[in-house]
Amino acid sequence: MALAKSQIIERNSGLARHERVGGLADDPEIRREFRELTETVVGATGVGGPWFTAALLLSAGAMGIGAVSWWAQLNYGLEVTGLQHPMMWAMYISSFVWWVGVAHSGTMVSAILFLFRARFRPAFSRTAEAMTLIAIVTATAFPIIHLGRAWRFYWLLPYPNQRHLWPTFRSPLLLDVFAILTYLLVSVMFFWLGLVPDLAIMRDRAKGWARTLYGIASLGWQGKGNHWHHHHMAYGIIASLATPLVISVHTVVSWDFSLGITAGWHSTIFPPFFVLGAVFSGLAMVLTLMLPMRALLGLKRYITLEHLDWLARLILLMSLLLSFCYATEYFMIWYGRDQLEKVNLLNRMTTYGPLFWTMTLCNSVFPLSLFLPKLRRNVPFLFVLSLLVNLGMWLERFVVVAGSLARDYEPYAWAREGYHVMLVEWGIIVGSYGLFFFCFLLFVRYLPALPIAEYKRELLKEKREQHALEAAGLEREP
Amino acid sequence: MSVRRLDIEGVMGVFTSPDAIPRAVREAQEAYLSDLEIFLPIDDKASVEEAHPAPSAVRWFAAAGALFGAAAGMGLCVWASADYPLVTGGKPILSMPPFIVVAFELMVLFAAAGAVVGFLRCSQLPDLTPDSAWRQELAVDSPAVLIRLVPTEESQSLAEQVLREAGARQVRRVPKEERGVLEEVP
Repeated sequence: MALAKSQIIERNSGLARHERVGGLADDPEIRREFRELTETVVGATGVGGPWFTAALLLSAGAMGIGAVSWWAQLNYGLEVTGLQHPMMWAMYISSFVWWVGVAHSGTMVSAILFLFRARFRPAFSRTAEAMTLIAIVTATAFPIIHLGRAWRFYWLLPYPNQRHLWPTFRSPLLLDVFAILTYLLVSVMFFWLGLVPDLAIMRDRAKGWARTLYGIASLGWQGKGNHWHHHHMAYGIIASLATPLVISVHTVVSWDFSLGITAGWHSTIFPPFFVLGAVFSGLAMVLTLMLPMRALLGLKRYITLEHLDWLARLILLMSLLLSFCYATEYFMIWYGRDQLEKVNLLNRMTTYGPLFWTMTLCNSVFPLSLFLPKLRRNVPFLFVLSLLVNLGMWLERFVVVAGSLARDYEPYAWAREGYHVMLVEWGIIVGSYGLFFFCFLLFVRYLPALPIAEYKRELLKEKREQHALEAAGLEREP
Repeated sequence: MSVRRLDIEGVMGVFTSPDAIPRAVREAQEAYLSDLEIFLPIDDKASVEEAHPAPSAVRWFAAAGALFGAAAGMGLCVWASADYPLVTGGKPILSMPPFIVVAFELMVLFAAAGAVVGFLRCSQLPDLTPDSAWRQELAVDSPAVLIRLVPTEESQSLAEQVLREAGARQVRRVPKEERGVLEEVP
């Protein structure tokens, strides 16, 4: 009986794994590919030139605008913002939720794809993890900025004090502090652990102080058997921990809203709604970062159109799931017959109509184009779509946060004019993007943008499969 | 018969592909050359399992961290709430559902920290002094097997023969040498 192609691959892979006699043992092609990959990725780290300097200066300028705006807010108080009763959460908290969402996708996608042994993971896992770290630092700044008296942010932490005053552990806001700090620290560990073997390669090529820094960060890694043995276990454990962690963290963020009784917020659908939105926006941000990066760093050979296709499929899946959440939410409001919920939703659709319908287009309609295989491999189209999804997700956060507060239980306080974003708030938003892109450019400059060791393993797997097919007299599927 | 002792760290076989490593390890062990070290540019499970068949102890560090974190999280909530018994929202002072969230977060945090500590402890890192056998190519494209403790000419010849028969593209003696912290190695 003839074996299926997948069975032949499996059989031969099994032989290669346990017997390892012959097979790819003497294939010089593997060495060449390993060397080329290493040189390409390490070579990409020293990136410079006019475009890089311009991007760095632009980001630094945006950071400067943010710093001046924050200084103005600290100096004059929150009156320089558009925040007023009943809309006390608006631009800052929307941005916080959006940045946390972007942050959550990185580690989550990286960890889940690691656990499922996804072939296309190495192409964007490092970018996603770096994006996570930078986005979570950016996100953390927003609640502190929103406090107004930012120097008192430490009141959120349970620190010992003479008056035995402790924060209340029954508040979702405090749960948020624990969840986000845990996520930040676990993401740092996950990122660094994956980076250790690559840092050793960087160390071997660096000189002077850079060599010392890479050397310390790589811990003296030499790729010994026991290094890999324990590294594999530790990385797997952290990936397993990170997966439920990210779900829990964005669930906790959603509780900031859904545990309140405000119409538009008080909904049990918020946790999955927020988690899906987070993954959706994070994937879009990965695309936004990765598409210029692969072109400018010469990584097209390693971040292929096939990888982009897979990423686009994930974005499409998330868009469909998120749209289902929207539909469920609107249906429940209609079916539940709660008048205030209806008024609230109507207000979001009319007063905030331009934002609401743009959000719907960006999150639920435009991504449907990814059903077309050609568009999933069209780089300019993917880049534009990723920007639209980013915009749509930001608008969604804003419409949910600010739009819901505009119609609360006190009709006398309903904001007639709506909420106006002031110059200081725009400045701080611009500053947050500056901070994000500045840090990302530094990442690209000093750290390998692809996980070298992991990518090599995937190359080897591919070679083994190819070898198995050739041995069976079959051709590889295109 | 007098036996000439050699001042070398061992004999190293450098291979073309990681696929050759398990066989080399097995054949060295069958020849009673069991004190060996492998170097890999990638995380090749089959090679690592051949050289280190025992399961990694890192998981126990993670488990200990998880238990500690969960207990610490729950303990912190209960103690702080009892120490400052302020009723908010009509909820009980000791409200378990939100406390479980804090306990879960700290469980994950300490489990991950335990995994990192376990990794460092078990793999004996950090170790900033490169081994005598270490060369840059080992991290790039050259998996290798180092057979240690081959002090005599006879055992050295045996090690060389085993490595060659296993398909090593290069077999070399590794002299014993003291290297400095973060010393540059070709």
